[in-house]
Amino acid sequence: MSLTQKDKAAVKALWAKISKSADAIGSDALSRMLTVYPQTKTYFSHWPDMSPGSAPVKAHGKKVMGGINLAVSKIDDLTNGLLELSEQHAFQLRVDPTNFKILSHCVLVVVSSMFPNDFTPEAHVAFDKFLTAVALALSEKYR
Amino acid sequence: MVEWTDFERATIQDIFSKMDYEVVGPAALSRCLVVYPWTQRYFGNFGNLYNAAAIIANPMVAAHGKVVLHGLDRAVKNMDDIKGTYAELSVLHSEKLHVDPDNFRLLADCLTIVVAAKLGKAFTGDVQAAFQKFLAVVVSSLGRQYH
Repeated sequence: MSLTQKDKAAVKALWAKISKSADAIGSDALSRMLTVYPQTKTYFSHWPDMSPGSAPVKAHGKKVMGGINLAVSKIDDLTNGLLELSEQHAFQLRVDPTNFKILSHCVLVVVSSMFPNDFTPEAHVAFDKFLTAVALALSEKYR
Repeated sequence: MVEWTDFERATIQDIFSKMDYEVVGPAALSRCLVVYPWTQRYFGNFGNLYNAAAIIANPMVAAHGKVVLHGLDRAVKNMDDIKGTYAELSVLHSEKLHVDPDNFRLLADCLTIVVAAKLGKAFTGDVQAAFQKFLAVVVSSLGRQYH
């Protein structure tokens, strides 16, 4: 299920529309993930505050969307483009890869709620494929 | 027995009472067929499913989307025994329709996305949690009678 040229164009088109709201998307997606999938909170026990919209959540949401922005720019070679991030996730963060799917789903829900007219089924399938490809590139170094 | 909090019950009733099944059903099913194209395997006799535009415009897809949503309504009205309510439907999906139960999860995800688009900001994390818990029970009940 690799990204076709059509997928890449659709991702870039959608990103152009939503990237200005990247920080808000990141914060909402992360807040949502911690609420809807409480087991994900186990990765953030070192935060003083895990509540939706709190400072650590906002800052981290921004960081995650920065990663997605990087991925969009490296869409033609995600494996190499996200090498450093993959090493970080594999050796330091050691986030179980199931959680990439969970966070991706939350990102899709947020984008859909914020941009209902732009998040058409065609945009949805391309973006879902993209986030899956990003997750794959991030887990590249795991074993 | 599934335990529902007052918030969860109220949230589910609220979402579905305000929902236009005739719009949301077709939107969710057509989105599922576009986003997860392998689900089209169950609709070989639905005619033109060649591309997203064709799927979205397909009247058989739309009709079936409505059937699915009205089926979901049964769970909304029987939240305390979704398993029992769907026993027959589960057998149907297994014995007659031969649907891989994983597809229920895919359709549920698409329905969540469609409802998020409709409710916008009102689809908060807590509302999403309640909605997904409800759909998870539905999905589990539909797969219950498979053997």
